[in-house]
Amino acid sequence: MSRHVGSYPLPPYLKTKLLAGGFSTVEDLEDLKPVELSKELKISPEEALEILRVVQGVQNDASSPSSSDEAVKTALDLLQEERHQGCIITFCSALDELLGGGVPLTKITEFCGAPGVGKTQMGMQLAIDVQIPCVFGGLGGEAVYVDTEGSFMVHRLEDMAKAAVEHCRHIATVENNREQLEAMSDFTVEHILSRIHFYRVHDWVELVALINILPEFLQQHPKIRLVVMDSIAFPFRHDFEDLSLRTRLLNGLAQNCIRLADSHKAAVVLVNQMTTKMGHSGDGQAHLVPALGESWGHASTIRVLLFWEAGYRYARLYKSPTREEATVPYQVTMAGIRDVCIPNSTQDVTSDMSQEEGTSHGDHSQRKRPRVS
Amino acid sequence: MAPLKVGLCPALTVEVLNSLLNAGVRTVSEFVCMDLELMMTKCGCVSYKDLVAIRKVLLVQYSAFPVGGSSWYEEILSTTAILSTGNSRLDDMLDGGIFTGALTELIGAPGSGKTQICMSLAVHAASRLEQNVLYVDTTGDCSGQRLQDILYYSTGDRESSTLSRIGFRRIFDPWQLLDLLQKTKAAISKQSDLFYSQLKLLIVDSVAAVISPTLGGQQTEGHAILLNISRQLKVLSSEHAIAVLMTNNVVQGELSEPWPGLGRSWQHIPDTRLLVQGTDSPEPQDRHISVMKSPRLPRGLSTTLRLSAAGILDLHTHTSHETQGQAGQSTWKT
Repeated sequence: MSRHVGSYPLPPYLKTKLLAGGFSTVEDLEDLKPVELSKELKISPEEALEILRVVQGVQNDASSPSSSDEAVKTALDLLQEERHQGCIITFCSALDELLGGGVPLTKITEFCGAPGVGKTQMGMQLAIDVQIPCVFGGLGGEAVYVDTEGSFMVHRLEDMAKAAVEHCRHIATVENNREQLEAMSDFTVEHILSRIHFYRVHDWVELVALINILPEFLQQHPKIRLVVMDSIAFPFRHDFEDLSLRTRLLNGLAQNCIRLADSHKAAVVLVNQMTTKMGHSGDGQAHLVPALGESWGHASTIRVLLFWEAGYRYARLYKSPTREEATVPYQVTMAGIRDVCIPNSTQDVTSDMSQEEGTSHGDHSQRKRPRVS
Repeated sequence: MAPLKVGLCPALTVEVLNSLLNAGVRTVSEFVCMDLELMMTKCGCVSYKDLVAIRKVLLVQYSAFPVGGSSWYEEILSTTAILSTGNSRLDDMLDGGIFTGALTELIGAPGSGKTQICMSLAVHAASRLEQNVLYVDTTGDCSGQRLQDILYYSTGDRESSTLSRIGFRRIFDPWQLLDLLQKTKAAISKQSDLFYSQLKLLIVDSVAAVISPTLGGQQTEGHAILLNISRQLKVLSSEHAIAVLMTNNVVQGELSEPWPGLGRSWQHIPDTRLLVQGTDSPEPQDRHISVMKSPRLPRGLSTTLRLSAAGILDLHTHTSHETQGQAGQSTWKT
């Protein structure tokens, strides 16, 4: 069966004309000149040319071996590609372990949490960490930070950047690695701040517009490895009457984000708020769930819930295609996101300890917290 | 419908065609549907007898052929295969597995395990069943590392070559999906590529992610896209004996019961619809699967699966030494 004209990206009114004129499949349009088509359908020659270009262009692609981007890869290729991609570390080894090495590139990671739990801190920390030079095992990238709430504090960012620089300098001096010491000259607070491209967005129109021009911006700045949106919920939670429009915009936004992440090998980090949902699990109690509704839950590949419990901050991996659900503690210090226990000089002990603590606390909180789904 | 052309039948000469065109009859369907007497008065020079003859030929040419029930049954038997899911409880529930020539849909909330089931089935079909799989990822959720882990924990196979049986493509808009389906169909018919001639399973995870941005609001085109995609999937599955597995979101129905996303017209498209849900049991990795729609199975049939290191597949038993060596790297507790 040859392809139906309805399945081509053509304007609907041209499709209607094509169908009314008896052209329903590609075969009917074969060997047709634009002039003939324009006469037949009483449309302008330009429109006829456009139709034929779209239809026959796609047809030609099918017969010739298409570009590598279009081709079907195998899962083996996918595995190789993934092995070469890095992760953005969070400076909290328990959280890194939870995520499988950090926030992965080419995926959407969503951090949800109540006010004050450290979502913006997380976004800022990642914007710094993505810049850690390659010789330290970092990505040496740049970051885009989209602020919709006005919560981005540059003083705070400076503090965290200072701590990150100190940390790297410490490693370089202890190891006395010449390459690392050289890289430090390019890893200063000023450099870090200058490599964060900051957007202040005031409403959803600006946000949707920005998402549409970001691919171009990323093309011009090929070193960008991280896009943070803090928060995705804010512009869509207020003054939004048409809910079906909201759903469509959000769905489109999600597709644009994942396309951006995939084509530019960048991590997209979305910050989301929490909302109250009246008990549908039968207990009649209200509990907190991520905002923007159930269908938005599919947008992110990885979803992490940040919450308080008994005076400690916890991160709970709620959705991930690669990692098991678990809960780990973290803290926000002057220096940024850190492990709960004070880091010792030996890295292994630190990660082991935090891991143990993480699992014990994890079981505890899993029982206490109602499932959000 | 096809336009009227000279040569469709002997009586349809250039002369007749021209007078028909003048009368505004341009396509086969217009010709067949129009009242013949009215047509005769409109194009004066054509005789009634000719018009009847043309109509008869056109009807014969364009009508479908009847097939006897028994021969149809024979054909179904010879072309349909049942792909085991790799999980004995799910296979029991589904009467053997998922059927080729049919669309199977998994619906569930975020994090319910739809992608895990998709990846498990892909690995199982590629490893144990030795069939080729085309995995279309529209959400960026599929991970090569996870596929390899599932392979390792279910078969004990470290060799990743099985993964080359799984074709993989990331797609982010409906036009790309339509293109891919079209090209897949063309490649299968050409029979030149070994991958496509042994293709038995097509996975689209998720179909909602590409279609839903075009639906809602005042848009009408999204509906056309949805129907086009569903038609392509149906043709691909039934003409080339491929099992299609798709995932979809859940929305809340009128009584806040789980309901498939993408609206009313999509509800009729999949042949089998399975709902994946978390359970109340203390095991957080347990998933409850129930049949929401099926031509073969009673509605409401259900079973419980456990997501593990091997996805939903049965775990391969390792020697203790092997397991220990792996423990450091493993992401899932066995």
